[in-house]
This record gives sequence, structure tokens and C-alpha cells, in this order.
Amino acid sequence: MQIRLPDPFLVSDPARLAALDAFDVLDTPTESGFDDVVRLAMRLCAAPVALVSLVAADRQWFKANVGFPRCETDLESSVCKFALAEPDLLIISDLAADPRTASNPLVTGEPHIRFYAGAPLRLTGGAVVGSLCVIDTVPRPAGLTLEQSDDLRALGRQVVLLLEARRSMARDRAEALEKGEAQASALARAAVSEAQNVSLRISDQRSRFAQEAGGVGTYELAVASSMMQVSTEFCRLYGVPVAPLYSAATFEALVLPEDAGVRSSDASREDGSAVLDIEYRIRRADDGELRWIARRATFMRDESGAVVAMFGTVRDVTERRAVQDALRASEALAQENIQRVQLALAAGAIIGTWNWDIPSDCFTIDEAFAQTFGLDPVLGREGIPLAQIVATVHPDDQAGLSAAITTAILRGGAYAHQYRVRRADGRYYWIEANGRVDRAEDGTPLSFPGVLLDIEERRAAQAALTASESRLRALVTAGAQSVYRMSPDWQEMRQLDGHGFLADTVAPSMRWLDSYIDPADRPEVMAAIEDAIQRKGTFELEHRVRRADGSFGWTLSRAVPLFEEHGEIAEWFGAASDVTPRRTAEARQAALVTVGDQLRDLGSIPDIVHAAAGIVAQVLGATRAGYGLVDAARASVDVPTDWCAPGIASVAGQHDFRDYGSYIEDLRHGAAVLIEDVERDPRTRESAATLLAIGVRALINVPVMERGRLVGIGFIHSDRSRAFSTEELAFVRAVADRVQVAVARVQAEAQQALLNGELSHRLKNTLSMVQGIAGQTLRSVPDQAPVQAFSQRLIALSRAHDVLLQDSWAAAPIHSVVERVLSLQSPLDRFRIVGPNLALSPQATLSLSLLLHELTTNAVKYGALSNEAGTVSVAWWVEDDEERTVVLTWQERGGPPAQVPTRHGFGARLIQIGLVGTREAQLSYTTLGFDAEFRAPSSQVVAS
Amino acid sequence: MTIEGTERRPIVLLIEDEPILMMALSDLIEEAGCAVVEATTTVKAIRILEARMDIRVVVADLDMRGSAMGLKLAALIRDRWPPMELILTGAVKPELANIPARGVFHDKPFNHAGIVESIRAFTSNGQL
Repeated sequence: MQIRLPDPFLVSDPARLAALDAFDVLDTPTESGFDDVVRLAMRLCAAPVALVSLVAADRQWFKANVGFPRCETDLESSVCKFALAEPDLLIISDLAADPRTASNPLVTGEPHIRFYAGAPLRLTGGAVVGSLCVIDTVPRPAGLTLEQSDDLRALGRQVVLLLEARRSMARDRAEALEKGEAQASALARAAVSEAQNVSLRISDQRSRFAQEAGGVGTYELAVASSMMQVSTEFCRLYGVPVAPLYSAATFEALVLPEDAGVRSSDASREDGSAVLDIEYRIRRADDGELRWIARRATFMRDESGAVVAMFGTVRDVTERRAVQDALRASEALAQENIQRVQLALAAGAIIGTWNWDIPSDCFTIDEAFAQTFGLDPVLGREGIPLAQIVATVHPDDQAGLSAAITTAILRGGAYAHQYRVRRADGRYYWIEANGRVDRAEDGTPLSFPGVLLDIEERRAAQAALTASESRLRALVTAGAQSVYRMSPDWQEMRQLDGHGFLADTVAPSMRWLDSYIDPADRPEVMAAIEDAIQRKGTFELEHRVRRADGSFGWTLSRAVPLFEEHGEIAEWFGAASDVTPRRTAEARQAALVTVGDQLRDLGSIPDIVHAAAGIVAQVLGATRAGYGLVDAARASVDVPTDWCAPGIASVAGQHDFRDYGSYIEDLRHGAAVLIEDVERDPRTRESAATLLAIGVRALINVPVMERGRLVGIGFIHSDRSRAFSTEELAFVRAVADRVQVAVARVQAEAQQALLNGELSHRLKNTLSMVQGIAGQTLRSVPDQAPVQAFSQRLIALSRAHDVLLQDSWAAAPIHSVVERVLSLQSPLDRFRIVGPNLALSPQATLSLSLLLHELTTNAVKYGALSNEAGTVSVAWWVEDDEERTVVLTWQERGGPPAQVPTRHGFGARLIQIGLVGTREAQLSYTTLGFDAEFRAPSSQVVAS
Repeated sequence: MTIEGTERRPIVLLIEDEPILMMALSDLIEEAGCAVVEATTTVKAIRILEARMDIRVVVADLDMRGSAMGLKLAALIRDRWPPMELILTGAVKPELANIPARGVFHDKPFNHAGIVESIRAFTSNGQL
């Protein structure tokens, strides 16, 4: 006999096994999505067993399982492995007759399976990881019906979707977590240490930046070695590479030969004869440019008075010298010449220039000077009393200034003094006056020209901030779209550069929340800000934000505090990255799960459509979403309901195919329709006005196909023009598919309910016929009592069926069963009914109904219900013993004393066999009345 | 018309297409002390009602084969012959709102005593 073995390559195909492995699904707990599928498969194919079977290299494992006793088997017992090779369904109508499976242990032994139908689980990439199968214990020569085959295929596809969704969710979650954590910790670490650095550096470097702003370098020269420790600015001024230590000769060599006599030398330093405050010219080392250097020095001496070191400052005074030179020549110069000089200086730190003609005591200032101090420029040109200038000086600094000026005039030469002056804005600023007293040959002071330098501390700090900030900016902004600066309390947004992601600020704004943050999100954002302010630590939050195009997206925003000298926050520097794509992908995944959960519990088509539409619309930011059921015969689409944004009208109702314009043909062929703008798209341009009238400017229409026919259309509308990504389309498709599955389920359930109703109808008609036949047959019997008893029992049985029908004959609530049977013969107020809610199995429902009927009949004839006063207590409970026993008691009180019956008819026997035939019935007849207790295993009484 | 002359018992029109149920219900009506006029279709039933003036009570099965009448027949009778009392039977109890006023419904299989009691209640007053 030729036995067709499965291609071993397919079972052990490494790509296939890798694909299965990637799901990481083997030996995981059950999941409701898969369980639902097998239950549906079982019901649709009317089979006792349905499985989601995943075929691994050495076994098959069941992700979902109904009706099969094991959760996995070895491959020898696998039928599903044959499905791997199938292009379509694998159907084996008799496993015992098929050579592939005749010797399968599950066929030859327990549980003796005989029929198999499986849909291969084919992934998007083509690999088959297993099958969704249904199994029967009897052969089915006819296999599955056409509908069942289609259903099984469709459910198989759902399983693949579930598997893939499950995998991508897990992967996304892991990736996002990993990436987020790594990013967050690296950035948080870097940001915190950088913030610390910045705050340290701001105070530490303040002097350096002040030096730079004032162009001052410092040095210390050891006389013994002639080695100099120099500051960075010193190096810059001399144009040599920045290094802490230089030989003095390096700088001496740069001094022009003409000025060599002025500068210090080894000898003049050693004997302390070097001039302390001098100005000389150098050729700057890097560019060879001629620069004027003003050097001030101090000697440091040892106990013996010998000079050991010389230290001091140097400043590039070339510009000042130039200005001074210009000014010296300027008395005859025209105003425009001066202005030209002014313009040349405007870019630097020089505020303005002055000239004091000492013989005439005429103090003139230039326009910039005048404006800075709020003085009349005309007066400034013509001459202004010195007292008026001094009046703008800070009161604390006035005495010192006067002394310095007096000293300079007496001594002649360079003059430099720092003090605070009030500017036009009313505030005091630190400035440095830098000038020189020129004297005639005889020593008479002639003129005192100079420049004012802005050395405002704030400005230096600001410069430091800017420099550090740029580094911080580079660090924080790696990968970020937008950067921003906030005031210490975040009340004011000082600046935001959106770089296309967010809108740029035009000016500092106190109303930035209005511009960027939705009111609903503000509490969360504000809480995170307050927390960061409190901690003086990094602010970090992922939140929704209004983007430059006006729509809302998601940002990961992170800001670090920059500190002042005293540890106060100077401002916050932050960066905002666009994480919208990741967030929306996450939202879509979560929405798919929610849709699945909600649809499972909903029982009506409008509820299903409304729930799914609401979720989709929210995720996509659509203004309307819905689902239409297609009636191919009438060429119409029925939209049971839709979800609409506030102010948008519903389109629920019947729509003709013609209403869809030309693109209905695309839908009928299974192609999705995406339209970014109905006025621009050729398919809708003609009917644009109609669409716009119902608030549709952009749309997605997704067809849902079954057996090649269009059965449903999922739609998304937007009232503004927009593009849709392929991910968004895939999402809408996935939801539409789920809606169709749910709709099909509801329709199947409705069909089932209809069938149940019809069956019940016929059953009761038949029972009434049996009743009629019995009545007619026994018409001539003189004693009609047994005929009536028979008739009553039929009615009791029929009542039990009524209750069972409520839940498709699967289970019946015990209270309903008890009340319906008892009320047949006596008003319910004669009974006291106590017991927990239990769902009775069908068998127990019928048994309990007949039992209670007989008990009531006896009570009416002989017991507590035979008079007007008696009552009956009916109680039940579950005893928590080993097998859980259901106990039912019947206690009659207030009637005549109970008598042991003498006759043993059918009724008495029904009572004796008890609940579900266990025969555990204890009957006692006392003067108080009749008591009975019945016991039965819970497993037989309660529906599973 | 001979019946009209000699019959002293109240007359009940029974509409039922199932012969066995017809027999069973006829017995119950007679047990209630009434005479029975039988109709196997709704059309025949209406003809009888149009022809005879002595019928006060109608017993009708809502599960009539091949006709969707059921409750519609009941409503029609109530409309055209307002004083007519209606006793309806069926396998499934219809919505209360759909049963014409004063109408009584009896579940299947029949509770004999209940049906007899309903017929007696409708025929005992105003007779003779």
C-alpha cells in the first residue's frame, strides 16, 4: 500500500519553526480570543471538538481547545501536521479509512476520532504554523457544508490575525519599554549631570566670561624660572594656543622691537624695576596682527623683599587706542567721521566714548553714550557738566569715581575704573570706564578721552549660559524636534523653536498652555511640572500636544533646570520629541484589543457597530465612523448606526449603491477606497458638494468580503482634508473584519433563537397532542383521576422546557423552574422558597420539575396544601463535601398529620428515585407534616 | 337553524385545525356545559359568525397551520363582534399587549380545569 507521508521538510522547515518560535506562544495560558474562535468553530461545524493546534518540531500544542482531553500530543498522533502541506482546508471524512491516519493512536485508541477538518494557519509571510481544526468521533462522508468550510477558513484567518496581533503587541511593548528606558535613563543621567555642571560652571566661569567680555587675561610669572601661568583669555589675546603654562620669552618675543624697552625683562623683574602699568604693541602670534596690550602687574615678594613672582592682567586695548587716536585727531573731524567710527564699534562691548578737554573743562560724549544714560545728545556734543554725568553714577560708587579721576589726572596715563551707572531704563549697570590722560610736555593735563565698556554681570552670566546652553542643547535635543526655554516657575514660555513639529513662539508667552496643551491634559502636565519644580530635577512627561498643523499629536517632553549662583533655578531648558507615530501605533493596538473585548459581549448589531465605530473614530481622530451591511440583491447598504463627533449628523439608514459614486466598483472588488479630499479626488469630484454637505471631506471605505462577495463596508469620515497612512488603513480593515465576525455571530445567534423558538413551539404542540390522544383513548375509563394526573405531569414537563428555552436548552435558573412548577397547582404565597441561584442542567431541570410536581400534588391532596392554613418550605443548598452535593428539602407544616402512603403508584416512585435518579431520598411522615430531603452530586445537577 | 331552536346551552365557536386537539377541546367545552360549533379554518369561522347570532364565546388556537391569522383573527373578531368573549390557546404565550381586551390565554399542553373554568366564567352570566 502506498502511504503518502507528509513532507518532513514542512514539519521541520526552519523558517516555519522560526516563525512559530517568534510568536513565543507555546505553553502560554489560554486567551479568550482563541477560545472564542474554537467555540465558534465547534458550533458552526457542529463538531464535539475544535482546536487551535500549533505544530512544533516535536509535538503539537493546542493554544485553544474545546472537547479534547489533552493540551498537546506527540507528532505521531498529529493529524494537523498533514494540514501544513495543504493549500486549502484539509478534510479527512473518515480517519480510519485514510492511509495517512488509519494507524494514528488517536484513531485506533481513545478518544477514537474519526473525522477531521482543518484550516491551515498561514501567516502573512506564507509559513504555516498549525491549523484550526474541528474533529468528530463519527465519520462524515459528506465532510463539511460549503458554509461550514467558509466559516472554518474565515476563523482560521482570524486565528492568524490574533497570533500576529499578539506578537506585534508583545514586540512593540518590549521595544518601547526597552528603548524608552534606555533613552530615559541615559538622558536623565546626562541631563542631571549637565545641569549640575552648568550650575557649577556658571558661577565658576562667571569670572572667566567676565574676563572674556571685558577682554581681560590674567597671568602669574615665576621670576626664578620665567615660566608663566596664563589664563585662556591671555592666550587668546596673544594668539597662542590655549595652554596653562608658557615661558615668558614666548610673549616677550611677540612685543614689537620699538616697545621692547617698555616691557619687562628677566632683569627688570628680578630687581623689581619693571614698570607695573604699561601699554605695548605685539604682533599677535596666530594672525600676525598688530595689537595694543595694556598690562597691569603686581610684584609678590618674599620675606627678604626679593621679587619671587609678578602677576596681573592684560587687556587688548587696540580699539580703545584706535578710538583715542581717532578722537585725538577728531577735533577737526566732521561728525560723520565720528559716526563711522561709532558704527565700527557698535558691535562690541563699547557703550560709547567721551572726551574731556581739561583746559576748557568741556566734557563731550557721543550719541551712544548719551542715549545709554538718557542724556541730551546735543548737549553731549556741545559739552556737558561733569556733575550731570556723575549724577547717574550709583551713590555708593560716586566717591570712588571722583578719587580715581583725580588720581588719573594727577598721574597721567592709563585710567580704568569700574562702577555702576543708572541707564535710561532706571536700572544700575556695571560699566568700566577706560581712558587715558594725555599731558603736555610740561605735565599739564590736556585731554582725557576714553570709552565706556559694558561689563554688566548679567551679561557675562548670560554669555555663560548661552555657551553652556548650546552644549546642553546639543545633548538634550539629540533626536528631538523642538526645543524650548521656560521661566523658573513655568508661567512664561520664553522661547520655543518648533522645527516644524510644534508652532514657533513669536514672543515670550504667558498663555503657552492655550497654544499647546488641550484643557483635558492640563492637570496632568501641570502636576508633572510642579513636581519637577519641587524636586529641582528633570521634567519628563509624554503628553498630547497641539502640533504646528493644529492637530494633536504626542510628545515626549524633557526639561532640565539651569541654576543661578545661589542654587535658584534661572530657567528651564527643554526638548520635545515627536512620539506620535509610536503612540498612535500603540493606541491602535490597544483599540484592537478593546474592540475585541467589547464586541464579544455585545448582543445587537447596532451596539456592535456603535462600539467599534466610537473606538476607531477616537483613535483616528475621525468625525464620523460606522459600518454598513451590504444587501447585494437590493444593491444597497444598511448602516444600522454610526458614531458622530458633536455637531456631525448621522448617516444611519439605507443607502443605495448609486450614492457611493464610481468607487462602489472598487469596493465590490475588495479594494479599499481612501480619499484625502473629495473635491480633488476624481472619483468624488462630481459628487463633492453632496459629500461636503454631510461633513465628509476625507474618507476611508473598507470592504469586507465573504466568499468573494462584498458583505460589509467599514467607513471613516473626516470633515477636513487629511491623508491616511497604510497603518491606519490596516487598522480600519482589522476592525471592520472584527465587526463583520461579530455581526455574523449575532445573526447566527438570532437564527439559533428562532430555531429554538420554533422547536419549542412544536414540542409543546406535540405534548398537547399526546395529552389529547391520551384523553380520547381513555375517555371511557370510569376513573378519570389517572388521566388527569398524566395530563398534569405533561404540563409540568412542558413548564420545565419553557425555562430551559430561555438559555437555548443549556441551563435553567433554579428559582424560575421551582416557581413555574409550584404555581401550577397552588398560589406561590403558600410556599417559602429559599436557596442560592444555581444554573440547572437540562436533565436536572426535567427531573426537578417532575419531582416538585408530584410533591405538590400530594400536598394538595393529603398534606399542607389540602387546607387553607398549611405552608410548604422548599429549600436547597450546596454542601461543600468532597463531590459537592446539592441538597433539596421539602417541609410541610400546618396541614393534617402525615400518613405513610399505602399505595405505590408512579408518583410515589418518582419521589423515591429523587433528584436525577440518585435514589437519595429521605422521607419522613410525622404529626407535624411530611418532610423530605433529596441529595445529588452537584456535577449532575448544575450545568457545566 | 334547528339547533338554535332546540339548544338551550350556551354556544361556543371552536376554531382549531388539528383534529385531535379539536376533539379534546370540544370535550372540555361540553364539560363546561356548552354546545360546540366547530370551524377548521378562519374563513369558515368568520362565515359562521356572520351567519349566526347566538354565539357568545370563541375558543381559538393561535397556532393555525397555513395561516398567519392567529392574533389577527382574534383582533378582527373583537373588532366586528365586540361583545364576543375570546379564549385563546397556543404553544407560546403572545405579548400581553397583543391579546384583545377581556381575552384569556391558555398555554399548551392544556390545563383542563383552567379552560373549563374560563368557559364557565364567560357563559354563566347574562345567559337565559
